[in-house]
This record gives sequence, structure tokens and C-alpha cells, in this order.
Amino acid sequence: MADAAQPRLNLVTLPLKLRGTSLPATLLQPMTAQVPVLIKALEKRLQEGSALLGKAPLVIELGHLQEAFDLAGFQSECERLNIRLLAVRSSDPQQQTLAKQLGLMALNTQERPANAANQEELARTQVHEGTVRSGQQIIQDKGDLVILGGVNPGAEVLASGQIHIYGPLRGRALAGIHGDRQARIFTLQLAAELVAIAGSYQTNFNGDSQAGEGAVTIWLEKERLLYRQLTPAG
Amino acid sequence: MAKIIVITSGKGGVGKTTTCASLGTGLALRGYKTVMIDFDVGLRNLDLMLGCERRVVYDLINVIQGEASLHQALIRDKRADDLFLLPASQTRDKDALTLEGVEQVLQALTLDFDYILCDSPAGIERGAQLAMYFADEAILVTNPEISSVRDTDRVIGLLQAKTQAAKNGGKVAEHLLLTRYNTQRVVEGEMLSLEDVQDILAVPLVGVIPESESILKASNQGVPVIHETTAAASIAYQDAVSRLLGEECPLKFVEPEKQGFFSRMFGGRK
Ligand SMILES: Nc1ncnc2c1ncn2[C@@H]1O[C@H](COP(=O)(O)OP(=O)(O)OP(=O)(O)O)[C@@H](O)[C@H]1O
Ligand SMILES: [Mg+2]
Repeated sequence: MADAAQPRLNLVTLPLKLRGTSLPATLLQPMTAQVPVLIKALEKRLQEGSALLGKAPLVIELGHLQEAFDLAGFQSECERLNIRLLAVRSSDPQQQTLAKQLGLMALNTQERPANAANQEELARTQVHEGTVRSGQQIIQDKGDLVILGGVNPGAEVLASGQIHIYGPLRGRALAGIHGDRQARIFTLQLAAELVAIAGSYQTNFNGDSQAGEGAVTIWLEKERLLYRQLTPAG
Repeated sequence: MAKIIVITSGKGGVGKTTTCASLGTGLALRGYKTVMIDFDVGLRNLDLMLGCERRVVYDLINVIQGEASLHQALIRDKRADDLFLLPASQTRDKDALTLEGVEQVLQALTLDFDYILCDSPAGIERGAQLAMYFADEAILVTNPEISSVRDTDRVIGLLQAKTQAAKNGGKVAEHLLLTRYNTQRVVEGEMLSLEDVQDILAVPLVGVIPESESILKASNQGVPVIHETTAAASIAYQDAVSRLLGEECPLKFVEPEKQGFFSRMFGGRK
């Protein structure tokens, strides 16, 4: 990934990545609790070549059925038909326990599992009030970081996303620490000890004397850190 | 209830003790009952600056360990009636200074005094953190040079994180005191200017003390410089006392001295 000639900061080494996602599954909503009737209907669908049943795993929703449902019987019939029954969706605790005993996942009707996984990954913005002082370190591990003040020499701010500094950047700022190459750094005045985006770094990043005067944005392009003024020089 | 003020800096030798002696004296001369506590265990020198080193019998650690009462340990200044000193120990182990012990001493003093000035040791370790822990306000003594400014910045970070006020969600009021300021050297670019320092630290200014010969003389004689009322450094410290008390007064000694006709003609000698 990295150009070997370019200096790289090995900030975080992750053995794995976790992503919230939603993969296709087929949801079966039985209108009857009679397993043989259901199986006959499924066989018919399979003969018609239903892609929904052949490839994607099946989730059966049991919440709205009045009568008792023979889950074990349904499971073995599915196996025979080569349908992959993955989970049961129901708010009934008894059915949930039974599903788990049969080696199935028990999903609650209220919680949408895909959402729950996404929420864990939701990026947040951290706002720090005031100047970051020498020796202080502010980290935003998941999201953007806004500093309402300067970053002084000897101070360090890090974020997995963007970094906005409403004051002079005189210390160190590292954006995209988990590898986000799109991350940017914004500051009202650039006189940094170090700037890094997605591991590509440069020390003594103060631009040329003119550009360093006003607000600038810094980004990564082909392993090089570039910057541009946001306001015309005074 | 006394106001507790820590005199601190991070960097050593910048003028904390000199400042403490003069501010303490200034507050006492205005009628505020003031006590100064020397937290610099092992390097007692606030007593030298006050010229009372021969009267030290008991010290802060004696009081904390119950070997002497506060009453026995406090030394009354011979020039300012309302000024007292609680000296540091020169011989004891620094670890004898405990947070609980310091708290008890401060609680006892707070009943009888208007101001408690804590003269911090240099550094950012335990001793300095103990001196600042219970402070309501902090005087950040800084010299106009990069290393001193950097250390002060660091100490501000500690004030905002490692003090009782910070832990209770409050804030220690910060005051910047810039000392050893030499306008000539600022003009020549050898020193940071007041603006440079304020730009980085962003802390309200309580005073600018000029670099001065009279301070050296005064501390050698054991007389806080503020007593030498006509000296520039004394006037600057008197103004700092006023600002600490909430009065407004214009800054002095921050503009380079106007060179007279003759010195302009014949050139300033360095
Ligand atoms: N404005 C000044 N002009 C000239 N000399 C000064 C000035 N202020 C302080 N000094 C000198 O600087 C030296 C150190 O001062 P002082 O002992 O007050 O510093 P300190 O910060 O308490 O040191 P430490 O960190 O060791 O406790 C002394 O010799 C003192 O006379
Ligand atoms: Mg000292």
C-alpha cells in the first residue's frame, strides 16, 4: 500500500477490522403453523427455481403465529431440502431459547441487528474546549476532532477522521490514524512540529511563510502532504 | 476563608521564590493577613529571601507529622506585621509531604489568614503537584524564553487536570507573571516579546517584572525587592499586587527605554 520510499508512521497495527454490515438473507413469514403445509409450499418454490431460497440463508419469523410451531421438525425438513435455516426472529423468550438449543440464532423482533452493528461503528465528533497544552494529548479514536483553541508546541492531537483546529497548530496533528487517506486537517495558522495523514507525515510543517499566515487545509495526495490556503492572505 | 495561590513555573530558577516574597510582602503591607508556605523540601530558600533563616526552628513537615504546632512553626516577618512564613524542611525526606497532611495544614491556616501563597518547587512532579493541588489561583512565573514558556504551558495543563478544583469540575484561576523582562533584548530579538508569550499561553497577565540589578541585591540582603519602593522591579511587583486584588493599572516597563540624545549620539554600549 505504502510507497516504500516514503516515510510512514506505524501508528496503529490492527490484527483485524470489524465492520457493521447487512448481508442478504431471506425472511420467511409463515401464515400457518403446520410444518407439512409449509414444506410443500417451499418445495414448490424450489422447483420453480427461487433464487431467494437456494442461495441466501433463511430467517423464519414466528412472532405473529398463534399456535405452537414445531421448530425442530421444520429445521430437519429444511436440511433435507438443502435450505440453510440460520435464525429465528421472535420476541417470545421460549421460542428464542428453543432456537438457541437447536443451534440457530435468536433475533429479537424489535432490534434490527444490522443497525446495532452499525451503531457500534458510528463516528462521533469530539469537541475540545480550549488550547491543548504542551504534554497534553487529545485522541478521537472514532471520528473527527474539533479543537476550540490552539495546539501548542509539545501537544498532540489525533483522530481517525478529520481534525479542525480553531487556533494555531504549533504542535503535532495526526489525522486518519486508522488509515483514512481522505482525512484532512484544518487550522487557522500553520506552524506545526509534525503533521500526519494516514501515516504519511512531515515534520516542521509550516508551509512557506506566506501561506502559513492564514487558515489552511492539509490533505494527502499520492503519499504527499499538500496544503492550500482557505482565506486569501491579508 | 483564605484564598490559596500557588506560585509555579515548571522550569527552575525563573523567579518563583523572588515573586512569592514580594507578592506576599505586598499583600501584607496592604493589610491582608498573608502566610507563605515553602514547598521546596530540601532547598529551603524563601526564608533566605526574607532574611529570617536564623529564626527557623520547625518546618512544614514537622507540622504535618505532629511534631510541632502550626503556632510554633510559623515565623512572623520582621518588616511586615501581617506576613508569616511556614518554612520548608531542608533535611527531611520529600515523601513526608502527603496530600492529607498538606490539606490539614491549609485547612487550619485558612481560618486565620486572607491569603496563603504556596511557593512551588520547580518541575512537574509530586512536589509541584502537591503545591498546586488545593489552589484557587495560580501565578505562572515565566521568563521570556522558549523553554520557560513551554514549561509554563505544561504546568497549565496540570492545573487543568490534576488539581482539586479541576477534579470538582472547576478551574484554578490563572495569572501570567512575566519576569526578567529586558525590553532591549526583546528589540534585539534575543528574547520573546510579551506578545509572543501571550500568544502561546493565552493567560491573563498579572504583571511584567523587568530584569533588574536591585533584585539580586535585595535577595542577597534578605529583603524582598518590593520594599525598595522606587526601584522599577518594586513598582512592577506593587502593580502586580494591585491586579491580583482586582484593580486595573496600566503596564509599565514593557516599552524599550527612550534613548536620550547623548546615548543616541554616542551609541548604546552593550
Ligand atoms: N527580575 C529579575 N531580575 C534579575 N534577576 C532575577 C529576577 N528575578 C529573579 N532573579 C534571580 O534569579 C534567580 C532565581 O530566582 P528564584 O530563586 O526566585 O527562582 P525560583 O524560580 O524560585 O527557583 P527554583 O526553581 O530553584 O525554586 C535568583 O538569583 C534571583 O535573584
Ligand atoms: Mg524557589
